[in-house]
Amino acid sequence: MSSQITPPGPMEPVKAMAGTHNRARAARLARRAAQFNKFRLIQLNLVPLVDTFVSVVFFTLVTATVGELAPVVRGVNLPESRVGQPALQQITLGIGPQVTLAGRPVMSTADAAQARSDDPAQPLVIPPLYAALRAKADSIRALRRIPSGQSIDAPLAIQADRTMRYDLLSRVMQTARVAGFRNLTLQVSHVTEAAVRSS
Amino acid sequence: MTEIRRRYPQNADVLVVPADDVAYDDLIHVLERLRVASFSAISLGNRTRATQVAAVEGRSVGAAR
Repeated sequence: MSSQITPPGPMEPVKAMAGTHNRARAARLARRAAQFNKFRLIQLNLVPLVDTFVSVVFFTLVTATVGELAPVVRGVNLPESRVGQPALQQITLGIGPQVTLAGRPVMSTADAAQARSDDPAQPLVIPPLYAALRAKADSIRALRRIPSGQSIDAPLAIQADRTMRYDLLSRVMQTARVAGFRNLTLQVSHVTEAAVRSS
Repeated sequence: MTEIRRRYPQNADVLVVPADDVAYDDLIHVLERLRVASFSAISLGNRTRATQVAAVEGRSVGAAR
C-alpha cells in the first residue's frame, strides 16, 4: 500500500490563515458584545422619576418660608455685614434723617437725639417714639389677645444709618423695650465674601 | 476674640459696652466679629448709665437686601 502525500496547493495556507483570522475576529466580537451586554440598560422607565420629582417640588413649595425680604428704609445707608440671616418683612423702625415706624415718620432724628424723657425712672426713653411704639404694640396685643403690659414677641427690626451714634441707638432700643417689644433685630446690608474680596 | 472663645469654650456670652460716640457701623462690625468667633449670647450695654440695653441673641442680627 502506498500512500501519497499530496503537497498543499499554493492557496491552502492562505485559506487556513483566513479561517484563523475569522475565528479570532468572531471571538473578539463575542467578547465585546458580552462586555456591552454587561452594562446595557434594557429599558429606562422615567415615570416614577418624574412623579418623585414633582412630589419633591410640590413639598418644597408648600413648606418653604413664604415672605418678602425686608425692604431698606429710604434715606438709610445700612452698615454692611457678612454674617446674619435673610431678614423677612417685619415692623421696621428706620433711623435716617427721620425716625420712621412702619414707613410713617415719627420725628426727626435730631429731635430724637435731643429729646428728654418725661419718666425719671426711664431716663433713656424718647417720648414721641415711645407713644408711637406703644400704640403699635397695643394694636398687636389687641389682635393677639395679649394682656396689657405684657411684652410681645413680634420682632421689631431696626434699620439705622451707619453713621448713627450708639447713644441714640441705645435710647431707641430702650424705648422699644419699655414699649413692649422684647424681640429686636438689627438689620444690615448683607455682603458676600466674594464682594469683600473684590472691593 | 476667637482665641478667647477657644480658650474658654464654656463661656459663650459677651457684653459689649460701646462709648456713646461709637458709630453704628463700627458697632455692627464688632458684633460681626463676635458672631464669627461663635459667641452666641451677645449683650449690648451702656457704659455711662451702667444698664444693659438689650441682648443680641443668635437670630437678632439680620441681613436686609
